[in-house]
Parts: sequence; C-alpha cells; structure tokens
Amino acid sequence: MGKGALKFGGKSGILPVPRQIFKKPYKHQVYQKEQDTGYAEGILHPKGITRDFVPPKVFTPESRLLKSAAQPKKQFSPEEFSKLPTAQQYRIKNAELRRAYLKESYDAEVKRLERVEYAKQKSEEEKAQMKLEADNHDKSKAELYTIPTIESYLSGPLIKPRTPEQKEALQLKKEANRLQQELDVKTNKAIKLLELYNASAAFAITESKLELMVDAAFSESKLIDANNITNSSVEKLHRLPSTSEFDSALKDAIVGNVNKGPGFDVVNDTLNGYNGELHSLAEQLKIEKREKAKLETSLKEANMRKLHEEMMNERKAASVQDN
Amino acid sequence: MSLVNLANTCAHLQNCTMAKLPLAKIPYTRLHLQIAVELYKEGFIGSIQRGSISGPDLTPVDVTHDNISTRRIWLGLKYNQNSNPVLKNLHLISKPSRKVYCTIDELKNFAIGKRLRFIKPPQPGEVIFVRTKKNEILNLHEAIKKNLDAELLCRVS
Repeated sequence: MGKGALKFGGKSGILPVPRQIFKKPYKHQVYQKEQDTGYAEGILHPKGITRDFVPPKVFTPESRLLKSAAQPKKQFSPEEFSKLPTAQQYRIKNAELRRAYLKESYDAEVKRLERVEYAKQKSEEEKAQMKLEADNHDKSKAELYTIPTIESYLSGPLIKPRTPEQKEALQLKKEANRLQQELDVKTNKAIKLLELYNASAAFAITESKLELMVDAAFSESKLIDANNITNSSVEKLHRLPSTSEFDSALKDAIVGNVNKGPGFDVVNDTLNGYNGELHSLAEQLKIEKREKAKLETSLKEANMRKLHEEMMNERKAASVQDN
Repeated sequence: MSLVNLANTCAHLQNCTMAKLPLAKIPYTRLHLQIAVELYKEGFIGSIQRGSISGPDLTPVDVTHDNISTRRIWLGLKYNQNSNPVLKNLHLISKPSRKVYCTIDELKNFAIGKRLRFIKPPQPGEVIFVRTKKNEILNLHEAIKKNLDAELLCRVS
C-alpha cells in the first residue's frame, strides 16, 4: 500500500478521523460499582490487577492549561516589551496567541461535550417517556368494545383445570389400572408355569422312559389309527369311533385340566378354598341324601310290615270264618 | 399433515379459501387462537367458534383434559361478491430453521417500508403479525406502539 491518497483507495479530500482532545475525564464523576462485579471475598485476583475499581484520573481543562500552556514566568511591561528585539516580540506574541487559542479550543470542547451529554440525557429521558407511554398504552374504545368474547379465553388457562376430587379419582383409576395390569401379567405367568409343570409329567427325563415313549409312538395300534384316519374319506371320518386321547382331551376341557393336570382356575379355586367349600357341600348333600334314603327305606319297611300284618290278619279272619 | 405447526395451518387456510370452503377448523392451542383473533380483528375471517372435530359447538362445552384432543377452533372464511377469498396469502416469515428476531428500531424501519435483511417490506393491504417476548401475538404497528422487540411471525394479505 502506498502513502497519501492511495491509502484511501486513491481518493483525496478525506478528512482524518478526529482525535479526542480530552482522553481522560475532564470533570469529576461519581462512579458506582456495578452489582455482582469484581472479585468476591476469599477469591484471589490475578497479578497486576487491582482488586477494587480505580476511577480514572480527572484532568480539568484548567489543570491541562497549567501543565501545557502555563503563563510565562516573566511578565514584560509595555516599556520593557517595546525595548525587546522584534524576533523576541514576535515569539512572545505568538506564544500568547497559542495559549489563548488553546484555551478557546478547550472551552469549545467542554461546551461540545456538555452538549453531547445533554443530548444523550435528553434522548434517554425521551426513551424512558416512550417506554412509560407504551407500558400505559390502553386499547382504544373501538377496540375495547368490538373485540370478540373469544379473546377473553386467552387471559386464563385454555384448559379447565381438574378439581382436587377429579384429580383424586383419576389417581385412583390409574392405580387400579396399574394393579389390574400387574395382576393380568402375574396370572398369565402362573397359567404358563402351571401348563409347563403339568406338561413336564410327560417329559422324557430318563433313558428308559424315552425308549418307552418311542415304542409307544411307533406301536402297532398307533399306526392302525393313523392309517384309519388317512384312508377314510371325509364323510366317514366323523363316524369313526372316538379315541381314548380324544375322550381324555374332552374331559380335560370340561373339567378345566391343562396338559392332563389341574388348570390354573382349578388350582386357584382350591387355594381360595372354593373347591373345599364345594366338596364339603357335596359331602353334606350326600349325607343328607343317604339319611333321606334311609328314612324312606325304614318308612317303606314299616308300611310293608303293616300291610303284611293286615294281610295276615285278613287271612286269619278268613280261615276262622271258613272253619 | 399435522396442523399443530403454524406453517401447516397457514397452508391449510390458504387451501380452504382456494377451495371456497365456508368454514375451516384448526387445532385448539393458544398460538392458533391468538392468530385467529388477530385475523378476525384485521377482518380476514368472519367468525371464530369453538367446537369439536365434528363441527362448531351448538351449546358451550368446557375444554377439559379429557376432551382436549377433540377440540378445534372453527374459522368462518370470508369471500367478496365475486367469491374471491379475502384471505389469499398467509405465509410464515420466521421459520423454526431461521428465526427472525427484531429490535424496536428494526421494526420501525421495516414498518415504514424498508427492507429488513432478506424480508421484503410490507406491501399495501398486507398485515404482519409479530410475537413478543411475552408470547403475545400482535400486529406490527401495535408492537411499535408498545415499543416492544419482537419476532416476525407471519404475513397475511
């Protein structure tokens, strides 16, 4: 990159960025530490950093002037001044002018800064005022009186909340459902376990039993049964005599047996005592029936005896008459 | 197509007006109700009714946790004398994949007809709905009146 105008894309006439005259604050300000900033007690801070906020030093325009454009130590009276050489007179006048201009420029800068500060403060106030107005913004009468009722639904909850009673009922329902599901699962598990237990009676657990089962499966009678079924027509099939297996399966279905053993319902009824009650009731009925039969028999015997006696008496009477 | 997404609801309403349907149903949610109320205020729809999936309620029904799945908002669509729909375009500006949040100054510039990022300035007869940080749905000009930052939600014309 070249120098001069080339630096600015070949354009001349661009003013440099204005520099700040007061790089440090020109008047005292009240600094307030922001909340939740800095280092907490007991927390170490890095080297080279102050723990507390140090406000920047204030350089007032007067102190600046004293430092950079102080009044000359020697003040010449007009007579003394007129006697000085012209070059010195010119230098003194020049220095005086420079001091005056510097003071003017400082004053102008202070005024500018005050103006900027005032504008900033005013815009902040305006913003705050706008915010206040926005917060207090109400709907116009036209809006207020023409909005539909349905908008009122938006102010509250959309769904009607459940009452404590409804919540309790729902909780109970959920609990009941959960318990019922658990019970169903457990019941199914028990049914399957019982089926397996009953089926295990037919398992070949020893070698000898396996041989017996193999022999039974390929026995002569089995083969005959199989042949009968395969050779017979559909019409004849239903006329075939039922096998013992079919009979036992039918019996199991009626009684509620599974795999030739008691089913879940039977076991459940027995454990509940229902079957016991049924059994005792049956026993009681049986005894009552037997008692009744006994009584009837004794009555019948008494009647027979009576009839027999009557007949005997009649015969006796008849024989007496004949004689 | 689930109408729970606002984009789908916008497309659904456009389809309904193109098919010249007298009523359209949308899900019963806060966002949909807010949009429906704003559309009603701006005059794009003729009526808002609560109802179920089978139709508007003839007698008021409470919305409970048990019946919320069947609840719907029924909107009465408007057509002019030539049976052209009043609501022609309803599009999202802010999408789930590209949210458009604006400061109040950006909103002001947008409202006076300046282009905002990739968004075309509001056209005559077009209404822009915005969503504030408090989840209110407002007209663009209302949001500016209230001096609120907002998300540009959708544009209707």
